[in-house]
Amino acid sequence: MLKSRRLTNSDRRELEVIFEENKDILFNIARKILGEDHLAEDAVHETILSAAEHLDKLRGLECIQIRKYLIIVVRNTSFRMYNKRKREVVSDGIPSAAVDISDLVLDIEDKDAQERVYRHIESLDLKYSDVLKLKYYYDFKDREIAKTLGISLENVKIRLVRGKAKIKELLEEDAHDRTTV
Amino acid sequence: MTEPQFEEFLSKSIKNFGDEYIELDEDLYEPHEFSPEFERKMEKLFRPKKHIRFPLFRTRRRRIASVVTAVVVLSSAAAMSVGAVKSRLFGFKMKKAPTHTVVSFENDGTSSEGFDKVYEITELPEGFELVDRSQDFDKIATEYRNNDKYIKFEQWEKKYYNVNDDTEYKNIEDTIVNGYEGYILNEKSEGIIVTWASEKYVFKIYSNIDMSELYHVISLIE
Repeated sequence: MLKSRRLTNSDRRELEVIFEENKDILFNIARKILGEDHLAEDAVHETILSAAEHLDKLRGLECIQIRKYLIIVVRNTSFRMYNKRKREVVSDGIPSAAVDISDLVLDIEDKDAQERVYRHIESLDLKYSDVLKLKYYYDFKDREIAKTLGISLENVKIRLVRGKAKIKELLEEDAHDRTTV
Repeated sequence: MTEPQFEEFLSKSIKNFGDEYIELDEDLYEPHEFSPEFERKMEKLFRPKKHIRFPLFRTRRRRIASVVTAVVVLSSAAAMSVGAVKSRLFGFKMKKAPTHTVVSFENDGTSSEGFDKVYEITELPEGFELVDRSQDFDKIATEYRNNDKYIKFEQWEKKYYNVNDDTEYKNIEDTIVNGYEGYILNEKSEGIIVTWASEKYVFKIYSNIDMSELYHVISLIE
């Protein structure tokens, strides 16, 4: 469906509940980054509009997951606004090559390994962990991530590649630590 | 491990362990009194829209009238020379951003309060049915569907028209619609948006039907 999604009345009610449950947290996060109330309110407004656009994906998620999604969006929106005001050009540079993971040996169903990887994702720089979460938890397409975070499609791809490369590095360190113990 | 396996592994890791509670600093829960301007914006977003439902143009008289109108419209267009088909420009104001374009109008005094005339699609392609109609102070929106095919038609009060068109991955192409200046946003995978403006109103149609079929529908709006 094209953008300019028209909200039904039921969508509007759901959105209002989401807003009411999260508005103070979203505002306070934005306020910490932007330092001014009216800018923080703009960031909250943009965040709720983003939620409206992706309401179908948020529907059915636990409140905590919706909150985590909103926090990712408000944080990125606020940083984008902050950088814009500072007239900084934020770029992740030239595209990185795809990560070679052919030598990684992991059991996909191994819960311990999954938990380790999740901890590693949490430890990454937010710009990498945010895209990985939007991609692999919320099942966003790259273009949807780009729009949600207000970055280019190319930057999304770069962040995904770099995020995965860092996870691979950390997994290799884990393997090395285990063999040396 | 292959790339798809690694992606599946990442997905399982996040989905199986990402549901844990997040601990936020206490001060993030501190209530904030939002500004009246912000409250108004949000109230507008959440305000329920008045929906009117009515049966689609089923009467024989309306169908005949539609066909006659279509013939008249098409023959008048055919009778005009290319030079005579001039667009009437009613001042689209476009502001481009990296991901979207904000389209609005200068208030030129031609827009009146309320809808003097309500425009409708007088003939729909086979199988389409009205599924929704809503009216608010700024626009009247009508949606028709035939399984996964859709046509959404909006009539805006010109002075309230202020829309963010998604132009990140598509270009705005100028066009002439029913003799008026307009523009097309075309994304093959998703559909087409055609927007045009008369003296008083802005019209917007969203659809994923064939372009030529859509133009036929548009020519029968009255």
